[in-house]
Amino acid sequence: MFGRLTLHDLIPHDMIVGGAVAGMVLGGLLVAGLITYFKKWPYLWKEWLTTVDHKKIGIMYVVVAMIMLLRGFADAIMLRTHQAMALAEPGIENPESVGYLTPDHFNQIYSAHGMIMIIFVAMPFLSGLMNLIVPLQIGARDVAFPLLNAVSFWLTSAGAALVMVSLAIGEFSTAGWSGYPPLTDSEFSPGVGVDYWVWAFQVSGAGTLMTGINFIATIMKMRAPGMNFMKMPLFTWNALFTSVIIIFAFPVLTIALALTSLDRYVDTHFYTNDGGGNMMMFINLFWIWGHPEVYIVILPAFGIFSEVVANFSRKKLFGYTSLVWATAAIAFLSFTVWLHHFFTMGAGPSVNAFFGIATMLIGIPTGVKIFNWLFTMYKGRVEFTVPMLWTIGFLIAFVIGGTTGILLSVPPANYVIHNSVFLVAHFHNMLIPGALFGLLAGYSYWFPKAFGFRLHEGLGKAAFWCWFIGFFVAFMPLYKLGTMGMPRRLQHYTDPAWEPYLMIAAIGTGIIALGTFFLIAQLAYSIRKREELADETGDPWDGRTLEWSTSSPPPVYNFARIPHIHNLDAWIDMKDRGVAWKKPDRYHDIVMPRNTPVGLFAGGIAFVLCFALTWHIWWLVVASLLGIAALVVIRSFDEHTTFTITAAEIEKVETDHLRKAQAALAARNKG
Amino acid sequence: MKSKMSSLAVRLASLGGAGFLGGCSDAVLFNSKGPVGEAEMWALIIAFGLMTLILVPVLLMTIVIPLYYRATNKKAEYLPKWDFSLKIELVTWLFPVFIVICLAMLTFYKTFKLDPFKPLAAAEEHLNIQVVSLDWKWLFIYPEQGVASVNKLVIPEGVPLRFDITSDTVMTSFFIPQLGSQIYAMPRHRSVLHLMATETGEMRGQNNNLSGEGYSHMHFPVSSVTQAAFDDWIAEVRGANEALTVERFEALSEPTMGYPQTVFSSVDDGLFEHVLTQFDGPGGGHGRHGHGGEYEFEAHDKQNPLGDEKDDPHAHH
Repeated sequence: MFGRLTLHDLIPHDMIVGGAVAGMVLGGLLVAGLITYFKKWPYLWKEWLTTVDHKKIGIMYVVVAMIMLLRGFADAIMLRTHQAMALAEPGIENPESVGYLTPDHFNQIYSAHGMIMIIFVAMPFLSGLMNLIVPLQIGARDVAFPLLNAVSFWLTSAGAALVMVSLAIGEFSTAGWSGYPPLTDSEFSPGVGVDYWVWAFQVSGAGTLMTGINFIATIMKMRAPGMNFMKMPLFTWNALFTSVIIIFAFPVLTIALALTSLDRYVDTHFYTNDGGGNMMMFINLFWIWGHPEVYIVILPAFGIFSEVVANFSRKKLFGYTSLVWATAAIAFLSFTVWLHHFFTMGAGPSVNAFFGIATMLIGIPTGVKIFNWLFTMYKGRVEFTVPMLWTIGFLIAFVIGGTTGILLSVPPANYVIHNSVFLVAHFHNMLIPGALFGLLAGYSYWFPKAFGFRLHEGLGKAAFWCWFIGFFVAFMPLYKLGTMGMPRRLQHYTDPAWEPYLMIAAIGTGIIALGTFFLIAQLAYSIRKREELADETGDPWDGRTLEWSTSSPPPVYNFARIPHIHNLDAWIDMKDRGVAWKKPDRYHDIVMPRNTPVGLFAGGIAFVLCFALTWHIWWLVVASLLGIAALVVIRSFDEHTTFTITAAEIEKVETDHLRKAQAALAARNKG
Repeated sequence: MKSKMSSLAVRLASLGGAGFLGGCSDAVLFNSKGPVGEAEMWALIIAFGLMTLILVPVLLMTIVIPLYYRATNKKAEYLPKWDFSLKIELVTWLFPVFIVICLAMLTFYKTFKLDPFKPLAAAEEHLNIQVVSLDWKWLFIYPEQGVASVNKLVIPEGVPLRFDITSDTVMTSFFIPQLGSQIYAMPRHRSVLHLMATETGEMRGQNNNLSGEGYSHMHFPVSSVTQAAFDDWIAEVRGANEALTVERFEALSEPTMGYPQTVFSSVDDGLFEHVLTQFDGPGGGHGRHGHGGEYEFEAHDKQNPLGDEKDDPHAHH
């Protein structure tokens, strides 16, 4: 009846898991209880769960990313504190009994940590900011396919929910986030962990692929009149290149994982040891997706840095054309370097040298970008706001990560530092500054646009400094440990010389935890003080690009009249020409997509499908597939997919906004 | 003398890296006991040196530019519309290009020179050692000496070594940090690694690639000893009371954690080839053998060196 699922799987195996599950369930019940108490279910349903508005979907993406960041970070704290106390004195009886995590649990945690941070933090965070900002930056009223957008979001959420559920029911994969076979074959991993891993990847990957298609269509077809390609803001450019990489890379992952699941479910031999399988095929396919994936998460952050650095240097972006071409070069080269993830597999020197040099080539456009940001600040008026601090912090940390990346790209050097904690330090040194700092810069930069009030500066700065310092304290010791020969993913170790560095790294994690606390405190405090921090102008930073021309939060239709674009810095241009905050001659009716629960249901059914597949509950698999088919049929008969906002309603909203904005501008100019 | 000089230079070079790569003697990568490891360490240091040409100025600029052009410094020049300079653009493109050309030359030269498959001397001068990665231990077979050991590797100083490496289980990575070059041990696949120790001493060998629950146990002591001591050790092992037969190997390949160091006085002929080809059963068809990538389409017709084809070669998992 329930496939492989038994009552036994519902009982947590140890105290830590039990505590986490209890906390998760209690937290969920508390939130549900509060929503019921305040009678917010109808509001939640109408305004959020069924929305197809790109701004609200964007906000929900960021909420998912933030929740998953806490989960992924809790994993990180456990990994670091465990390793700090995992020195096994040589000769002791059961060295795996040191620390507080068993090998099996430890392996699950880092597998989950890696997957969560990439797939359920970085990806939804960047999708969220792209959703929130790209249509506003190009003067569009929504994305090209609003319902598809909702489906994408709910599929990503289904994947995140699957990973969370694996904590309570069953187990997660112990084969690392990259899941190399044959370790993932049923012969070596008979449990459901690998299946959770596969299906969480597959369902969120489907969502991501649709996001990529959606944004390419949006950016190609829905730009305001006058905005040719070379007047597109850099964030939009980066969103476009990210989307292009997504649609080329993600199908490869889908195939790679589909073959893994075929090996597990129907005993095929794509990657098995026997029957002519070849695990090297998986490793190649995985990284043909995996390396472009790095740029999928980093390019949007590069876009954010480009916006922030120009805005808070009060100066035009230096070398715009170079930045665009550098991004294009990175997007292309990202597909030519995957083999550098396994120089140690024993390919011949010609192959290794080719991929090593191709990897170094990426350093050229990346270096160009860094110089262009520096020369944007040069002869500017740099304001050290929170988004700018994240940007400068990124520049400092990222060049160090780039340097160690170049070291790893020299095959003979790679032979001695690959798979060590040096490698762990390197990719955290790319992804924490390169992706997370950028996303957090974007979060504080665009928060007032999404909610109409700013985040508290002081707490934001405290969060930045803790993250920045904590990052160095946590990861520089790992570089050193790498030169001391420490492999990654060790549950215990016998070399006492490694211990002090692991303790320092654990302290660094503590400092980052403090930074995370400040991020939460900043949000809570800012919500309480939202009246004081309110921005009625829609343009709190004296911005340059079009998203700042709307009210904050923007009305559902974004732009009452689609503006005509004359300049890269469209909003500065409008302010210079004196057409900003001006009432247009007249308003028109606007047709907008109507809310629908189809996205939510699609995500819900997809979650059930993946859960049923994981546990081999075949009747439920069939039922879910039928459910999805039914959903498509029902939706296709729905003829009321849009609604009209009349010119009179728009006039009322716009007049109200302009009146408030004028008053706020007058007050700002006086002050 | 040369090695003393170079170790001094290493200290200086790594100090120059502001402790970034670590300079103390516990940084085993900078305390290599063989030519391969030493050459790879130099590749690391030269690449790092080239990168400091970019790293240092960029770090300085990142700190100095925003501080000098801070909004409150009204004395600093302010050019809000300035967004292009051909001279600067050329430098920002050509300078990284120049560094990458240097790095590419280094990479090309060093990758061919340090190919793990490339012998360090004439074939007959090498000592052959066969390595089998098991769950979760290492088996070392000395085919010419006809002995084997588990979780303990003894090597003669000053003799070029050829390791033939495969896995009986999942993929692992065979690595002795102080000798250099790790390489993956993969089932059905022969990886070849050439190393040499030029000093005697105790070292650590390890698996660098996650292989399941007992992964952290997969480290082993490596003793580099004089040729005479090595010969003594071989003689001693030959007197051990256990032989490594195929049956004994099957028992050995059961998953264990913390398997004790064990030596075997003799090894069944062709055991390593048996491990390599064990998955090419009648159902398996065409397995790939060795590094050359030749395909055997009738593997089941091939004479099994051990003559005891099992019904289900992977049942022991």
